[in-house]
Amino acid sequence: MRRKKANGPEAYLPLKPTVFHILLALSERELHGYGIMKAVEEATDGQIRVDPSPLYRRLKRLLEQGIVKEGEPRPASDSDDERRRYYGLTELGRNVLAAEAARVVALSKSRAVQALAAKAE
Amino acid sequence: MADLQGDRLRRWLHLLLKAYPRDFREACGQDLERTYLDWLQALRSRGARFAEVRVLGLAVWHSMRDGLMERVTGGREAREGTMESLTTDIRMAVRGLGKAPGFTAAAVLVLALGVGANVTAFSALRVAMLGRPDYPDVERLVSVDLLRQSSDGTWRSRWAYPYVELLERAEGRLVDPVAAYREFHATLSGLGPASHISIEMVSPDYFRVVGLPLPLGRSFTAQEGRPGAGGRVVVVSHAFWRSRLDGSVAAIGREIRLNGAGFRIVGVAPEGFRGLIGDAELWVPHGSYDLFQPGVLGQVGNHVAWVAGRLAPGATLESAAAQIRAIGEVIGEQWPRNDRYGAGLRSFEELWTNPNARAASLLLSLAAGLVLLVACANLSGLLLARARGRMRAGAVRRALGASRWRLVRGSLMESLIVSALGCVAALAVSSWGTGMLARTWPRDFLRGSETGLQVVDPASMGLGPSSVAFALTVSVVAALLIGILPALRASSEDVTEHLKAATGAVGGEGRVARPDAQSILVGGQVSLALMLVLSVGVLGASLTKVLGVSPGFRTERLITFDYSLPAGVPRLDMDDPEAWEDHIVQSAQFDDRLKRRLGALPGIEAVAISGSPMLEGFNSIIGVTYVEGGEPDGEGRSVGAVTVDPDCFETLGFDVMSGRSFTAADGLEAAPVVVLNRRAVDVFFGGQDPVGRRFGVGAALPGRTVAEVVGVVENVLHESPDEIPAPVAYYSTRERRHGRHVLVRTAGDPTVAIGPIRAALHDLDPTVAMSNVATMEERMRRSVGDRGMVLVLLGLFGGVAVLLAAVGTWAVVSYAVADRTRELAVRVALGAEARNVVRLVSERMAMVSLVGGLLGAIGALAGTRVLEAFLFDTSPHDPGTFVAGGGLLFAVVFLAAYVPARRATKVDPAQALRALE
Repeated sequence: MRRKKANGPEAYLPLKPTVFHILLALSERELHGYGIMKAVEEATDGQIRVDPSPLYRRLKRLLEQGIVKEGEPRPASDSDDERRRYYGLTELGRNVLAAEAARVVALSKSRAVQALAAKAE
Repeated sequence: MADLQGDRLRRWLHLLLKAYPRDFREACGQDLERTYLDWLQALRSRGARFAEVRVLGLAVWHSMRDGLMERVTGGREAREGTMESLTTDIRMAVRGLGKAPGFTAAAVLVLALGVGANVTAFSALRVAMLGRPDYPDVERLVSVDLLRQSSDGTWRSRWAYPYVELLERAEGRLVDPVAAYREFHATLSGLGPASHISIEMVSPDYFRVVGLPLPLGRSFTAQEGRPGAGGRVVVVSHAFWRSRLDGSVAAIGREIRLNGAGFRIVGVAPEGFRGLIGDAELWVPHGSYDLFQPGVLGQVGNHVAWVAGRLAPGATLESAAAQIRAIGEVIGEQWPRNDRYGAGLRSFEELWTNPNARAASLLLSLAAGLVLLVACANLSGLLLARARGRMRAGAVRRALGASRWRLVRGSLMESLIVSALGCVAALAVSSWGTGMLARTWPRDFLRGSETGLQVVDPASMGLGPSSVAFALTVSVVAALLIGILPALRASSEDVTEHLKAATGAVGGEGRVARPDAQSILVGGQVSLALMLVLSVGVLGASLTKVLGVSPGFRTERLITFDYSLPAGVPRLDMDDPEAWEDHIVQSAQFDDRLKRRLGALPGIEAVAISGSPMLEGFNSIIGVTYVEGGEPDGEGRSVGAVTVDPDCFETLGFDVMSGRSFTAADGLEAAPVVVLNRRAVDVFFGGQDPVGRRFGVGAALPGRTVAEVVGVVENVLHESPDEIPAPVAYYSTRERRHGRHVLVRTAGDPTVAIGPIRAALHDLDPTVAMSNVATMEERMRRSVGDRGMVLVLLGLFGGVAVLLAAVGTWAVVSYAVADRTRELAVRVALGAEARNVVRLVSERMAMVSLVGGLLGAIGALAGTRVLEAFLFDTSPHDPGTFVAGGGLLFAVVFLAAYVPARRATKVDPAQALRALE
């Protein structure tokens, strides 16, 4: 069960659903904290919600792992002059996300999984 | 507004961030804060309710949970699937607790007491501090007080009716409407058996002042409110209307009889409303006063009613108060007295609660908080001991790769489950506790001070949703307090040390001098328990003093009750001297019949009649009109007037100091006579024997106001024991009448006699109602009611705390002995003396108890000041109490340490060493 020591993207798989959706949201554009919360909630129709504190715990870890990078702080809009830190994906982050996506797709193609899914429907 | 809230939230968030470790704060604290604010803004723009509360609530929870996790894991990812491992944690915790049913039961019990005490105190506090009558625009309601100012200070009193009239006539009043109100009791007949009923006598504008419209019928007219107009109309309470009049609309216009006189029902009061006095069932206008006590209402110096009012539109409390003060000046000039009259205004807000009730419930809450802290320290100690037992298992799990957080969580889960069980048990405890408080909490305790206003019905105390929420919060906090230390211990880093220690390789010699967490917890318990014990001690010393005040009469085996005169006896009418005389003569005749009848019952030693029950104050406080050769300022002061029959002094065992007692010959046929108490002699005659001199008190038949002093009796308690005895003038019931009260001395248990007395009374005349039945000893206890109750509750809390401290000490020393069995065995084998062995294991305990005790004593020195309001003639730093209380606690703790320590000396070296091999 021990994690592979390799530094390739596979080392970080499987991703937790929350992490997957955070990365997915960041893959489209750089977002600030509340932007991520909103994007994840919208993308999953409210199925998955991340609250501020757990979000930043994740982000801190993802930053340390080099999956996420910090952008330049900037105001969120013209009407609000307070600066916010924006986050985006690193090269590694994009690879991890792609690897996870490939893993999920491969999984969904497996015959056993399809049989189970058919039964569930 | 929105920004203000945002700023407030920002400040809170800033504070909450401190829960996270520094590196986390530095890396993303500011962003986290900003995100919460963004979220708040989004919620607000969506129009979500309680947005700020929701965000703050979650932020609090997050900071507790995530802050702790960040600190424990140091930023390493917890590997396990959260949900899956959570169920595992719960399963393991439940299994662990199930294996130690004794420990679990003890822990739940301790928490039930600790949390239960807090929930009970919280419920009392909620009622005492936040209880508000539900009147419209309640903040505009005011109490208009008559002030009496003398060199002794200023106090507020009831108004005499002439002053009320002056107030009502004042032009351009800024307090409008105003209404006088007073409580009294009458016999209700014409609706089932005769009963004694609580009535509020009010001015016509009373219901306008209260501001509640009557659901049925009407209030009183100005005409009905005029004294002497004989307004025989009544408004009934909603409950009375429902239960006695079937809730029928036809009730309006029906007649009921009060003290034999017919009253027409004109209205029904709003549901739940029991009057400003808090327990009224009926309301009658002041116009009917003369039916009950003719002539009394118009008298100056006869203080009958309290006054409440509503600020007129546009008036402020300050402007209205200035005007009322001016009216007070007028009253003072028109009726000059030694204790000069004035008038003042207080908003209802100011007098919602008796300050004593506030102080008492605060005190209880503080004490309950201390008990909870002791309970937490205690449980934490027990769990620590358990954790020690499990260090090895924990160490093995750590060695196999379990994260520290995982172990902490498992251990915390245990305390969470215990406190969840404790919370349920605590609700049961406090449901009982609040029920008991509601029954025993003295009614007067929730009455505003120096006003007739009853703010909250004590019966409204109970467990509401807020109590349940409070219980839950307290339990969660308790779980964290209890669990954190043992959790950290169970998961401590030093794996090899535990593995070694568990095999018995280390003797623990190094730990002797340095107090460990468990001992420090016990020290904390000792100090908190000592604070409670000393508080209880100081209160107890004060109560002993109060109870030690001699009532001045014999209280044992006495049954006392009020009775009403039968329908045939004419009412007292002070405007018609002939009817007045008739009333006195015929009621004296009835008294004689009653006394003969009761005296003939088996087991009755003596029967006497008095105007007012002892210890409940005076029925009549009347102005003194004449003092022969006495103090110059005597006239114009008041005395408590008490009527007694010839047997009363003897039955109660009054000490006649000079002259004589009343005889059957005193009465309307003989010259008027009066007996004074010692205090009256001091006040009016400068302490000189007044027998033979003349003394005048109002409210008498024409020509009988001035009476000859024939005797002097020692002061007795007519009011509560902690009040200075008031001057009293005693009159024969055959000459004056104020109130009807019977005192029966029995040969045996007085309560047994109540049934036969009631039957005999009914047999004598079925229209006679008996009420306010109590033994004299009950009255004594009641008169110290609030002190007694506070003491009993604090005593309970203190007892629990001492018990917990003792259990804590015992557990720590027991563990220490068990832990070091091998080392002790070696020492005993090498010839160590028993004394030294005991010292070895209890040294640390003695040190922490001593330090804890010192801290507790210092805390108590500061803390007992809170008690000052409850103390009678006792210093809050009473040295005797401090020595005795401290001694008691140390004796208990010493015993708790000595018993297990003693066991250490009984170690059989051979056996102990073999067992450990």
